Amino acid sequence: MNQKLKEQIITRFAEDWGRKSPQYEVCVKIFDYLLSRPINQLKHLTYGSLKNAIGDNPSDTDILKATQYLCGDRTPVLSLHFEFSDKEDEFIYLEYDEVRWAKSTGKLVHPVTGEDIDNYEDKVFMFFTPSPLISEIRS
Amino acid sequence: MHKDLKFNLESIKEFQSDVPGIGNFPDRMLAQTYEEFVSVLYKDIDRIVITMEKNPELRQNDSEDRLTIEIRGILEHSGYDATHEEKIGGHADLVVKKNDWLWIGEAKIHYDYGHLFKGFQQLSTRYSTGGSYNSQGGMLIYIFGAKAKIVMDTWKTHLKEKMGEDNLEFFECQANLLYFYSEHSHQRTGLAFKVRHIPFCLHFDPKDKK
Repeated sequence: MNQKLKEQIITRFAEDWGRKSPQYEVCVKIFDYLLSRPINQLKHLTYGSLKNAIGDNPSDTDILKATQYLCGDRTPVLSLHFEFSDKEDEFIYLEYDEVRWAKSTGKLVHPVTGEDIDNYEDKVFMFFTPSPLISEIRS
Repeated sequence: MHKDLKFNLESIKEFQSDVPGIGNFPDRMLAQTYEEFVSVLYKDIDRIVITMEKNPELRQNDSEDRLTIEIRGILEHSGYDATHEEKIGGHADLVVKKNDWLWIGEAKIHYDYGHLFKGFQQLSTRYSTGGSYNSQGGMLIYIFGAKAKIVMDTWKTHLKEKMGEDNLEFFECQANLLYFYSEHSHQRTGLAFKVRHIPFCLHFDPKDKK
């Protein structure tokens, strides 16, 4: 474990949010979770799984604030991914270009059938994986 | 709020008022070109302008640095790699980076148009590289006086006089009637350098208690 880098990231959380803020606490808990769990258990982190990992019932607002921050360039701890689902328990991975295309045209091309899907936004879900920075710290 | 929030593109929009920037979060992640990076950055800055203009009474004694640091902080919370006073040819007021992409904002309180033009020159000839990965920048103009529209119109005229008509083009900004874009050939690279001129209307002089 690269302790020095780990401490630098936690210091940055504190500088950006303040040590007494709920966002700081959420960021540290997610960060600790990513560093403590076996990598093979972190391949598909949904919003719900992060929320469970944090515990103590933080608000959605606090979690969303923390997750968009943790996906950003300032402290790139999480990587964001997209998947399509119009049926329960059936998810199909989407490349960034597929989502960009949908956003620019207003229609998502179904990743399997090729059909155009209007009103796709409630069918495109997001999930997370640990970023390369996490791998660097864990090495 | 939601016990089981469906984390999809539609549902996160519901949190826009509680989580600044969350509506632009996917676009921020998806940006694959410099233009897309700047485009979503401007959406985020526009949101910050609206927020800061809501309480001008609290900002009457704020300095350029204080205001700019607040903008930097909000951008950082949205995940941007944003800095204040970073050394890039000098100490740039607001620097936002993503990969090799660079956007620089020069912040000025509007005292007079010479002061603004000094900022424009700093942005154009000192801080910005003018390369493909830094082909756009911004003037953040904090206006404490009344009638920001007149200030912006006069600023545009002043800029044209100083730069010369042949070396400057103006474009309207669809996002806000008070904003405008200028574009000129960058001194260092000769490539087009596009500047968004963004006023923050912070005038506060209520007449009801006089």
